[in-house]
Amino acid sequence: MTEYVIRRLLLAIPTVLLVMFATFMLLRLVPGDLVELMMAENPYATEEDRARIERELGLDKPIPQQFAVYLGKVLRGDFGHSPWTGRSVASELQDRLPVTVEFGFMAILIGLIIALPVGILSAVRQDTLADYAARSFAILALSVPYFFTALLLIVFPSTWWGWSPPLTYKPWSAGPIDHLYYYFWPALLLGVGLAGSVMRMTRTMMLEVLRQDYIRTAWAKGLRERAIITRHALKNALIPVVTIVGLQVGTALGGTIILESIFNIPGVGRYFIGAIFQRDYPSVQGVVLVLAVIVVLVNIVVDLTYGWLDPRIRYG
Amino acid sequence: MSNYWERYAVRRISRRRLLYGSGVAGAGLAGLALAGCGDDEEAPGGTQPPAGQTPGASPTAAPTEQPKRGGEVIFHLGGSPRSLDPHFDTFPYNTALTNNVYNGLYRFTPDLAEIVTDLATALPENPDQLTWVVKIHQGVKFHNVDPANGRELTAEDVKYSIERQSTNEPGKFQHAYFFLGKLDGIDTPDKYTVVFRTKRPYAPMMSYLASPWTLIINRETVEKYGDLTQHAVGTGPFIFKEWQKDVHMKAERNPDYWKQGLPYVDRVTWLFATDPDTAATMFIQKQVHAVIVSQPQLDRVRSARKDANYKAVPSQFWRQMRMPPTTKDQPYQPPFSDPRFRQAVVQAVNPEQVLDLVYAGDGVRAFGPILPIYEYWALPEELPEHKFDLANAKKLMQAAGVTSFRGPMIWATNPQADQIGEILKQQLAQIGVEVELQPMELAAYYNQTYSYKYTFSHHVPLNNPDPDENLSSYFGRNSTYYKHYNEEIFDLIDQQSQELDRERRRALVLEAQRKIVLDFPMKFMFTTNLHEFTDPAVKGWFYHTDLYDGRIETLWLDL
Repeated sequence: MTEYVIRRLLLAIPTVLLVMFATFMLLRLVPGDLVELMMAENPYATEEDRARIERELGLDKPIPQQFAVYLGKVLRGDFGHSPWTGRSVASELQDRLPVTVEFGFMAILIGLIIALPVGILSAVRQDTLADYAARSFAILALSVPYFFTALLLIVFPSTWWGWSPPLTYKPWSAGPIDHLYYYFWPALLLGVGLAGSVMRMTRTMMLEVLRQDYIRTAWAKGLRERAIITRHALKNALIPVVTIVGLQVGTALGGTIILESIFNIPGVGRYFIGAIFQRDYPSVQGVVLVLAVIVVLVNIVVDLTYGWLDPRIRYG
Repeated sequence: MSNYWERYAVRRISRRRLLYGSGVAGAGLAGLALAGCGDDEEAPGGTQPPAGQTPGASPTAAPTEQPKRGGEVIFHLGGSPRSLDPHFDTFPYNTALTNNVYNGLYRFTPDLAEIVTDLATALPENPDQLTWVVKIHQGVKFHNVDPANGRELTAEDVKYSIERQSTNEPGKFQHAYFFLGKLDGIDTPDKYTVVFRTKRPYAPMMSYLASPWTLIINRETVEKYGDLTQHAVGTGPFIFKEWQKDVHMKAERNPDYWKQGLPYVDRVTWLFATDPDTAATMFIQKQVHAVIVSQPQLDRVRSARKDANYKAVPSQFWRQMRMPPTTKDQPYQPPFSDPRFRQAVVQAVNPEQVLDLVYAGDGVRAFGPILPIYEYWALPEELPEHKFDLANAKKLMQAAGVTSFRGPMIWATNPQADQIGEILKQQLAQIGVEVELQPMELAAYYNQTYSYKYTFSHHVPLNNPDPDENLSSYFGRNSTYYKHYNEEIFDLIDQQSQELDRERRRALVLEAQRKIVLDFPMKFMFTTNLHEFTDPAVKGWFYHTDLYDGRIETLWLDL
């Protein structure tokens, strides 16, 4: 097991390096550059000023050399400084990453709380009204963008009923209930969006497992439905579901980008959007790197849970 | 914000002690309320009308009600500042805070009609055209916080601030151009006198001294922290308390403020919300006292908050449709080299129609490089040669011998700008000019537009209170935002920037604008309205015409 984890971690290194390289190159290849934006804020900046800014930011060097310098810094734990604010990217991420991770975690949790029971119910009560309702819900959740429902939630309840979800950030220090309630609505919207695919996968896998011989045997032995569903069927149906959930971590982190702006959540997403528009190279590179590492690690963890769900799986 | 866990701990320690504490706090508040029945701000010294013909309401116009002391005012801001350093940032999110933590020497009245004193005791004396003598108030103290510790502000601080602001590092010191290359030196003959010596007569001097970016900072704070990116210690009405990135900024009343009785509110918070619908909801839900919304949110806010004070104000950001930039080495190419073709393009564009279709008519026309909100300097009406006239445009095309022309049009993409592109394409098609639409992401657009190599673009520039910046940075000899080569125009712009007599300067500014308009480099289109709302409890203050001016020292809450 340990050997497997080490091997997976080593294999993750080229993946992360590739992400770093792709991000670094793409940022410099897309039209529009950082120096131009900085110059645009000053009505009398000259070409000499441009050269000086490029020199100061190290952008006058060939791109491969810039990447080598960047890589060296990252290996030493230095993600660089934002050319706009002068703040270190690491400290910006330190402030914001826990917010986004908590938000993403809550969204996935809410998604699972909705998707698993509904998926199971849908499979167990196949072709009943409950099944049709659950499947319609899943399609709706998959097809309506969460940012659209977020805007509906922001705009209409305040106009009709004088109510809106909390829009002012509440840290833990403001009280756990206020804090969790602040996250609840955006996490619900994102969670519902994620729930659709998990619910459908749960239903499909449960239907497959419920037709297996050992389940029929369990019924024949007179076991109670709850025991058959939860102890015998669900665990075996969960492996593909867990895979989907692992893949949704990336989706959830991506989803936070828009919802953070709508609900005023001070996470990585808002920071990331601003950094992209301002061509803040170190910040964009830092965010992508950290998110890539999170996604890679989560997927390793997901792979490890297979062994727990199905003891026949061996890591060799 | 008090910490929940601390409050929880306090409750667990002693409920009796807490009750005792509440009684003391209540008495303290009552005392403050009594103390708050104080003076109105009396702006000492004179006023100068730099940008308007008629003096408007002063920021401290005599209130009809007695101001009350206390409370917390909460503003919405569309984003977080990049830095708290007034010499670095260029966004109004910065000046919302810094204009209340620092003072300047002068400032514009909210309607931009006058320049009034702030730290200065009077308008400057000009013994000659190159010398500006400014006397500052005695006994002005920096905030009583580390590292300024309540030290008195002197002329040396003014000299230090202006010299730091003038640091020649574009990309960092973004407001250096106010004074860099223009000043010959700054002298401080005594503790309370500053003498600015300019290299040439410098007409924009007063506007830049009154700019919301020209603030007097504290040297010790810069020396302690390296810069003012995350720290702000000044002489202003509020003491900076907290800046939580992407969440809020907070400041508290300066109890030792040198303007007696001011400010009225105890605390001010700026909440950041980037999404316009979210901002509108925050105001509807009374989570903020003041908000600026755009046309798409207007009806919702107006119907939900009928009690609010409301004003529509033309934005300083406006719309131009440009033709190719020119320099001495890059003159107009045919057909643009024929002024009749350029005039045909200008007269084929109908800005009113664009404004109606895209913004439901919610804006005002621009007739030249200076917007009508700067009434004193702007062209009072559209020149006949510039007016929409399709028949004449067609005649001009015929006279120029151009039957058709095809060229790309670029702009920074967003839903409304994209609609504008579509409408301009249809309008120009009527004279045989076929436009290929090329919307671009903002950074890419900047790359293209500042290469000065394009055929058509529609662009959103910013207008400032001083006419010089609106002329010289677009049409001047060393312009960078746009380039239009015309020596006669260059000379007029240079002349106005050195003309200290206001009336004579105005004549030059108007003449320069007429020349620019009649050279047909672009169609001056329109600006859209910003919709400003304040809660009825907010008194003694409304939004400044210059969006960048965030001073709120006279604001009080009628709670």
